[in-house]
Amino acid sequence: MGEVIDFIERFAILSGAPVRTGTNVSSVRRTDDGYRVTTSRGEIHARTVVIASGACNRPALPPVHDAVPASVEQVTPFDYRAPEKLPDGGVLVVGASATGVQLAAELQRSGRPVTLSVGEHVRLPRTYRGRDVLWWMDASGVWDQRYDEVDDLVRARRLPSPQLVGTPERATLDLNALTAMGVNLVGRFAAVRDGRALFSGGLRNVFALADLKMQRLLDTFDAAVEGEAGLPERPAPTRVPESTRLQLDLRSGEIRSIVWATGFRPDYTWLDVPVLDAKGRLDHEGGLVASPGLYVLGLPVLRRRKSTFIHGIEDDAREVIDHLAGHLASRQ
Amino acid sequence: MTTVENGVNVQALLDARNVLKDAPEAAQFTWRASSKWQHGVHSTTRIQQFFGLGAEQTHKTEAVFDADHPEVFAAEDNGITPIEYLLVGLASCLTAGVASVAQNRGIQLRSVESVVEGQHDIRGILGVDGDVRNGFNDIKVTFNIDADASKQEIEALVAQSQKRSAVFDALTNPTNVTVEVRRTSPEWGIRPSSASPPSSSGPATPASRRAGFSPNAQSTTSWSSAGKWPTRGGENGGTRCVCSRRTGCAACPVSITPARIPTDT
Repeated sequence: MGEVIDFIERFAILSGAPVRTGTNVSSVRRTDDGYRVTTSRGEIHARTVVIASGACNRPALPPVHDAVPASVEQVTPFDYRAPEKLPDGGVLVVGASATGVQLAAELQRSGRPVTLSVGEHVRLPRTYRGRDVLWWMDASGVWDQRYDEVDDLVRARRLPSPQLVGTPERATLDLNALTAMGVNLVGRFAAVRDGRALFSGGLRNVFALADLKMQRLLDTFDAAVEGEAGLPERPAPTRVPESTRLQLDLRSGEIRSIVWATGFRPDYTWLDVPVLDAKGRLDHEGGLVASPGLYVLGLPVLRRRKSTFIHGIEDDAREVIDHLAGHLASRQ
Repeated sequence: MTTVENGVNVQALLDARNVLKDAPEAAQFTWRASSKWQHGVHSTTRIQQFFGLGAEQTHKTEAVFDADHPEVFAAEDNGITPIEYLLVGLASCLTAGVASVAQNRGIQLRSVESVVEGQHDIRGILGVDGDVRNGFNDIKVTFNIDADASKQEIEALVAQSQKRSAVFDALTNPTNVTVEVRRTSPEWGIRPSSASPPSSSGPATPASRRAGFSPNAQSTTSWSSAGKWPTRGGENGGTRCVCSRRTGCAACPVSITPARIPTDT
């Protein structure tokens, strides 16, 4: 973490831009020649605004959480601090993307029996043919794939975070690793009925979908280094449990807490400009928001697959800021 | 690239997807079946009308389905059992999905065959053991596909077909089922008639709540859409009604308490 902080601090010095730390923005409104930004330390008038508040401002909970009996403690990744803060006993972790698999592993290691509810997910090995998977994403050109080249942009932007964890040993944390630790896998959390959690019986197919997509990605990696030393590797298919539970009595005491690792959404409650679509998503074309002078950076596949990474924003920023500079010039 | 022809009008489906994106109300469909008790555990279900795209729609012809129980259950076997209709639905839905996805991905199919097997412990419906569920324990689908594609591409077709299948979803995820009852005896002033609108929420009586099995039938049966009925079975010692512990028995002329019966999963 120290390296990242140093990097950002150095960037602040080099850019020379005024940085206002500890300042909350409560409103952004359109004016005749730009935007009025209301902050906890007064108003700022800006001819252009770049939104860079990210895509993960609040946890997204499925409506079914309302039906969970009160005897079961419910936490989101925002509330979660450590296994010891949860009640002793079984934990149901809902969601098997990066957050869900990491918390499931940590909770299982703490001695709490974990049941992990798995829907569609993105499986990736931490290392492939001796190199980190992120090296391959870069070398194979996947990171640079542009938003206007992606087959289904809506789907690409909604893709859950891959099942990856950063550890010194560079261990892979896929569902097979969790099964080996003793985590109990169940299907997608579908409903609560009479105090019982009901899970989908379609677990095999979400495994098949994730395994097939991973294989396709590894094929892409192999093609990128064709002829080089080293042979393609294929991780074992996701092991299907001999029998999966389709329901769990939430009042029996077997499960004492639920961790909802079901994704995050951006928060635009402070944005008083009508630029959200019917589903509350920011309406933008490669970072150009549908209101002149308003821009966004750092959203999933904003202009490239790498858009949400610190190293990935550079190319996006150059293109978006080119447009911003043109906008300022035309309004001189 | 040669033209792929699987007979699926994918363009029409993609166009519909675009149109319905901005018109969710037109995407609301109601599928209907009207069922009538014949005799014993034999019933006839007819399907012709449905609602969709904002209007009443009609199939080209009416389809008629007879459901009964086999002779090993001391019935007349005038048709397949209700739970076998689920196999018909699953097989045809996944097959349609394979064809559509293949067309969309430019994969020419030569043959697509599947066998669907549902494992069913009938001690549940007979009330022998309260821990045994009424429905299938497990369903297995085996596809045999001949197509101009790699093994991996064919596996992806089948995976995507499951991902977008209505029947796969209906079988793997819970669904609310509301069963309402109207008494139609003449002394109540309501005539049994076709004037009452057909139920829009699926079959009026869950298959698992029908009665009339011979208690002597073998207890575990493998239902298979391709296989043969087991011939073992025992004495047809007359049917036994288990209404005393169930509501909604179609085979028994007792008055039925109106009840909201959620599906068991």
